[in-house]
Amino acid sequence: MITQTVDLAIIGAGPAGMAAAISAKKYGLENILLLERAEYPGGLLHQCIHNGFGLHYFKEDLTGPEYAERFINRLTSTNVKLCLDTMVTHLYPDRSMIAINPEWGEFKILPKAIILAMGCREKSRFSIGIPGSRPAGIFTAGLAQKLVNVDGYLPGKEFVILGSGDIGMIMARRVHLEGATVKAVVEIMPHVGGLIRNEVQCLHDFDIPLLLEHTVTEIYGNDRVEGVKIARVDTNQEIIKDTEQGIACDCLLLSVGLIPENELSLEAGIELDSQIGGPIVDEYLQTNIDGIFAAGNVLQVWDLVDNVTLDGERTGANAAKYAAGELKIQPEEITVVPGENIRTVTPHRIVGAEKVEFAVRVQRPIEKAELLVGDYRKKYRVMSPTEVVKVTLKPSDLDACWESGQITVSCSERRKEETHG
Amino acid sequence: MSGRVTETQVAIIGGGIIGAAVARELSKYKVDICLLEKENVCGFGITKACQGLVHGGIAYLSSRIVKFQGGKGLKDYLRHPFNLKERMGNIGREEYFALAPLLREEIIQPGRLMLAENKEDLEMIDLIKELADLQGIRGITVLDRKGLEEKEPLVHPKYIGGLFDANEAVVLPTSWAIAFAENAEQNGAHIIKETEVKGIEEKKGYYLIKTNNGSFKAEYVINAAGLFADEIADMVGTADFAVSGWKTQLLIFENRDYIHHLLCIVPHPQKGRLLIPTTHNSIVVAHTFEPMTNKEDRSTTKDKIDELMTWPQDMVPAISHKHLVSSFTGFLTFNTKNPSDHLLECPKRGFINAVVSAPGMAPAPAMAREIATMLAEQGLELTTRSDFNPYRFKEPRFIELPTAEKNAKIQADPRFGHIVCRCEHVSEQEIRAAVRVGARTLDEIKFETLAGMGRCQGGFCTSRVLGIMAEELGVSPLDLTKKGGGSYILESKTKELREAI
Repeated sequence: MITQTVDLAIIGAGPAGMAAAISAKKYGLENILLLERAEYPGGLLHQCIHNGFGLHYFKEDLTGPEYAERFINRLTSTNVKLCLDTMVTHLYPDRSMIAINPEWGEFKILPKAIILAMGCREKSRFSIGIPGSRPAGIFTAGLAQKLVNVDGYLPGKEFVILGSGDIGMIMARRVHLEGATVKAVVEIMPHVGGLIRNEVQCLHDFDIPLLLEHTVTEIYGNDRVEGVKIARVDTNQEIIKDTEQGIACDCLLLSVGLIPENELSLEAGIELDSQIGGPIVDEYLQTNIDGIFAAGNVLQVWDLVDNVTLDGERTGANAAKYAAGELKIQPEEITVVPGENIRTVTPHRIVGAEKVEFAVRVQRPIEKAELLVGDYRKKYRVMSPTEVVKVTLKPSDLDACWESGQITVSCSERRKEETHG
Repeated sequence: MSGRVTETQVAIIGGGIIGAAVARELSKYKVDICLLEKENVCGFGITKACQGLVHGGIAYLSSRIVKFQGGKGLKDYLRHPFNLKERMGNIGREEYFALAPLLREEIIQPGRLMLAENKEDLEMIDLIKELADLQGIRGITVLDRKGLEEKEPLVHPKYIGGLFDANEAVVLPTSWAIAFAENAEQNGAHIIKETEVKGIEEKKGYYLIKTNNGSFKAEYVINAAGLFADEIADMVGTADFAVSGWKTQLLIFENRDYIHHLLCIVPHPQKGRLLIPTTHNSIVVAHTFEPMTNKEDRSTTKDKIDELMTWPQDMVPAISHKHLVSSFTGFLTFNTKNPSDHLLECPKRGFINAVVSAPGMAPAPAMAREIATMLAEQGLELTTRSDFNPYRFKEPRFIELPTAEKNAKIQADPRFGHIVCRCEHVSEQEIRAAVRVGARTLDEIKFETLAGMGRCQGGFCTSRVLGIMAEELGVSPLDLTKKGGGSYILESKTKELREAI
């Protein structure tokens, strides 16, 4: 069996993995292996042929493939070893790895540091338990996107889309442009699951019906989908009786959420945040296992690829420091506690004496919001669970927290006098 | 095609676990066998959606307790001699263990843990233990809370004790039906799929079986049609029974080391809460009961899914809703002639009805042997074949090979090194091989190779698998289906629809 001894192994050459490789290289690491399952780098960007990528990072409006191309070009100008068509099958707590590819067969990797950049996967029909028959014609929105944009096939003529995640809304527009009919986008929450700009540009601009506070209650058809039943839900997401109605369709797309892909992490003994589904990390995005870092959607599902890239750059730099023995860890640590109205927050703990970047997702939409991180306060016109907010604290902002060993993050409506003042 | 008549000595109707086991048993002898299966894969009927339990130990005792209508005399009732179901279950169970290495199939023996919540439950457990001792069942231990925790650290704190039965075993049902049928085929039996029996004519000295795929002239017929056994029996006027039962719904969760044993509650009538650890790292949550009104109805319903969702939480709170993988519907059936026992009879010369009353997994090998004996009594000459090969030829899964063998294969064909299904680690070459041995639909590929069976349920590999299948078969992906018939997957090429408008 071939053994590859390297400074850094990165699992996944999507936007997180590519940025991590480029950044680790820039910070002086020489021997980097970038492992990618597909035959090309870029991850899922190549099937995202719509625009809206890079608005923050490049201050430009790019398509997915264009965004990927910029990093692929940067990558190929380095000596990072890109292993395509390579599946990592095992990751062990001692950081050794097993992978398979057509060129080297099954081989072993012994890296000093590892960056997890496996991305996320879509929830399936079954993982959300939609009742009914089991016909052909039910696809996750991402699979449908690949079939349409990469393979060149339409999976149906008359669509119902359950869930208004970004990919769902984008696919609604995409199949509409292909001449198919989108009968409805059905969302259980009182607001869309994805970005507001996608609600406007993908649904409203094309008069695609959006049914908020509705869900699919049953699927019909034996061989192929013949229709679905939908119903209204109340504020507890319970179905309201007698509101059920049938919609004839031949295809049901699901955009009901993404789950960080952490099977390898579990095998390695990495602790996961049960709410987010990604590893528990410190501010260097290092997991509970020394030298294993996590970046991008494997850590938490980001709304914008720009944030995924930034995660990648951070871990690349940190992994380089780690490999050089320069990552400074304090003997004490601060636990980050999600408080009022906080659904998720990373990092989970603070271990260094440098600035700390927090990424916060709130529980419910809050107008005139005030975010509190320890004693640090920041005001927002609106905070929404569909968008992650980033806030950076200086080391001095954390001084008071070392004693108690914890810092609480919370969010609330601003008090009246403050709003007026 | 429909005018063709195939002559055979024995026709087996139904390729579920019973029919397939019978085919393998008879393939030990110099006998012409045709197994007629209406689906395109053996074990895709009622076998597919059963729980895969191969009972042993206290399982039959428990079902007797459930059936006992109260009053005195429970102990005496439990001392009644074994019926056919219990006898065959116990013999069959042993045979699964003997067959596993021959058929290259898996059987695991996680044991059963019965959970007690209160004093009455504990009393029931003591009684079961006492009766198990009387019946000479070994491997039964009464546990206190500490003992329970040692076995299952994550079990709900409300359970104060339990009973451990080391005997309970679990298999993947469809896989075993396929294994029996393949080994039979490798020994000369004809396994004829997509062949649905439409009628049977009783002639002089033989039966003429009419199907959508020609007619079959058979001296002996075994009716192992499972859910539809009553309809088949009716074709020769021997249906003094119906196949009746319950529709049951089940859920599958990922098993992230949550449970290591089959968990159940103490026996109650029509209340069979089970958490079953499977051979594939998942947990089957079983099962709800509702009357079976339509044998074709495999749909799931919201109320039952909601109900099932609460059970794992109630038994092992760590099992999160987030780890739900799938939901499905099965049937627990019985024959109305003898609802609590299997029906194994020869109502006409050369015609055998083999109709199980659930559970039907465990008895299959024993029942197959019994049927061979019955056929011999009916005049079928059973001469042992000297060239019978009890070993099923099956390519081991690529990912399970030792490194050196993997690398030899990759060197010979790099497509083994190309992993297509990332959840179950299935290689491109295995998918091509499955197509070459006859898989034509996505569902067949899934059962042959496990591609699409894992946690993403085909989200990543479907597009790749379609491409490989189309290439192998020399067709367009538009021609491919999920499960045959009208279950097409893709509608049209892009731009076609727009241009048509």
